[in-house]
Amino acid sequence: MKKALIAEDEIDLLQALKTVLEGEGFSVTACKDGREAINMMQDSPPSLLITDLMMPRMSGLELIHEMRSRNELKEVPVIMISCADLPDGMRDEDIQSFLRKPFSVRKLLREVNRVLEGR
Amino acid sequence: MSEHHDLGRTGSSEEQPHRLISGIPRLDYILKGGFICNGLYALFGPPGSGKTILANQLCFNQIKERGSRCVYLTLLTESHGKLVSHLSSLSFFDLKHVGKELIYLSAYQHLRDNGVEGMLQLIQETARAEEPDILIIDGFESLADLSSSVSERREFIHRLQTLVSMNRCTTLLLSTATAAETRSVEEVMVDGALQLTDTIMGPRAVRELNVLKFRGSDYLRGKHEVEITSDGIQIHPRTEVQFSDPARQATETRSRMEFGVPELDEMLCGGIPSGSSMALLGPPGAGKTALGLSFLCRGAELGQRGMYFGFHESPPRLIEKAESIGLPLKKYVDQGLIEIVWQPPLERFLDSLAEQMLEELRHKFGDRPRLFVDSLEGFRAAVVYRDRLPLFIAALMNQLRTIDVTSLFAEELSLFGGGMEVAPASRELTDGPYSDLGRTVESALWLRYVALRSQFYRLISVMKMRESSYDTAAREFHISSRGVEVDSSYESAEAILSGYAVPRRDGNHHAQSRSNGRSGGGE
Repeated sequence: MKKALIAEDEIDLLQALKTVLEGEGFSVTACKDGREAINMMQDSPPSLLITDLMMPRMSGLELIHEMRSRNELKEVPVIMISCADLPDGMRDEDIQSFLRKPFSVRKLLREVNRVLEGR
Repeated sequence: MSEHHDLGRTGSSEEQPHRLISGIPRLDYILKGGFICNGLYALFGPPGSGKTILANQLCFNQIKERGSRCVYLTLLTESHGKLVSHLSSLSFFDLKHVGKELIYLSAYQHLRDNGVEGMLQLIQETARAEEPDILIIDGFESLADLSSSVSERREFIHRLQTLVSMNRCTTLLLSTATAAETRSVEEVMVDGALQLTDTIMGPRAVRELNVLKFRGSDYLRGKHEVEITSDGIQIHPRTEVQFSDPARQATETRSRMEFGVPELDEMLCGGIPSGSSMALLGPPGAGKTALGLSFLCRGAELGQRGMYFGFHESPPRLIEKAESIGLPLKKYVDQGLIEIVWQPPLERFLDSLAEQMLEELRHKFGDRPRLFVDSLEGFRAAVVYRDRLPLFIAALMNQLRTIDVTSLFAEELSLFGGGMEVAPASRELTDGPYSDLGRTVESALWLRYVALRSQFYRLISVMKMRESSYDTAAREFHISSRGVEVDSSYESAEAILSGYAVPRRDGNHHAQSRSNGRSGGGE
């Protein structure tokens, strides 16, 4: 079973994403900031990370930089979601997709499939 | 009032607290200089009253003007995506700052999982990491819901106040709490509390701002109108609390401002004293607009600038009307000597109308401008609280005097009743609409119709003129393609009022003369 980790501080969106991905057959774990995400991924890297950009304690940008510096996490594909634009200092290879909030389920699933097919 | 819109921090000495100037139109004026830096403020208001817009407007203004950093922490379940999407239609919003200088974070789940202690830790971590100048905590009512007791909430606010002050961060708590007992803790403990309301008054929905408390500074008390436009929140302080003081010093020597109708100017001993105000009273069609336009056109002819501030006729229609009575209004409008400020028939805000008028007169009209308001009914239609009108008018007149504007205010009397009566002062003039104006204006002209046999006649009288002599007799007047013409004596008026037609110099009886000649016209 494919495993997805969602890092998102907005609880309603987090729960909605979890429901959608579970409906698509993913085993989903969820957390509300970047620091929790790093801790959760250390033991068992997911097939896909969906992360918000602006989160307390550790932002999505810091999370990705931390992941890319670790051998066991640097290959995990990432979809970044945010109400802001893609941040400066983000390299093409850092993330595989970027979705501006609000987005539709159809668009999300299209990006999830595209990112995973590309692996 | 543009000086109130400047952004940045003011104050320099230890004694004078630094101010954080919000840049929200006229909020800083109400707060007499803006928020006090590093303070903790509460903004209460029901959903839809404008709290979120006000807070975001403050952030974007500070980012643009000072390069500030802001953190917007939500304790709500509202999505940031939707929030940003809704804000994006407002002119102050700029997506390029989101995620950089303005960070949106959600702390609802954190509060639920870790309680108020964890929430304080999160705020401290965020303050250390982001070093914000401004912190907004939106949905503060969630804290009341999730804290175990009032004392816990009180302790939280106390610690938050210390925390944000030490972090040099001005903080705004947004809450939907409306009941006094719910908000009392926040209100007592914060440095300042503001209340936004959104109330249905008859068919109108009215937003207002009331500053409940503000430590360390004076402020304008009471309710002030709030408007949400495509530029965000606009606040309109009550005119009567802004301009209640009369001018401290008299303006320079007064002159007389003519109507350009020689016989009328003669009745007024040369015209209206400059810097004073006059009421033009009369029923519909009596000639108020024609006289007001004559006043403006005469000023333009002498090189004095004038403003037509009207509610009824659109500019093209007004120009057409003026041209039909021989007034070259279009020429003066084209030359920039007369400006037509037309208020389309929409719901209006009383103080916003006064602001618009005064700002234009102050900044664009030079010395001794002339003003014609057509009519006071437009202001009356914008009133939410009827009791305010006399105070509002008095304050507006004070301010017009201060900036040396000579003003005419048309006031509609009813077609039947007061306006038709021969009696010099009907009940309508003492208890009716005119009573708002009558106490304040220095002078008044009364235009009326009088019916005699099969004809209506127009008469004009000077009802009052403070500190000036004037002709107390009524005179007949006419409106034609030659403009407004007032008879050179009171004789025809006396004939009409006494019910007897008298021979005129041309040998015709007065009534015959009218029916053969100068009838028609109108406003």
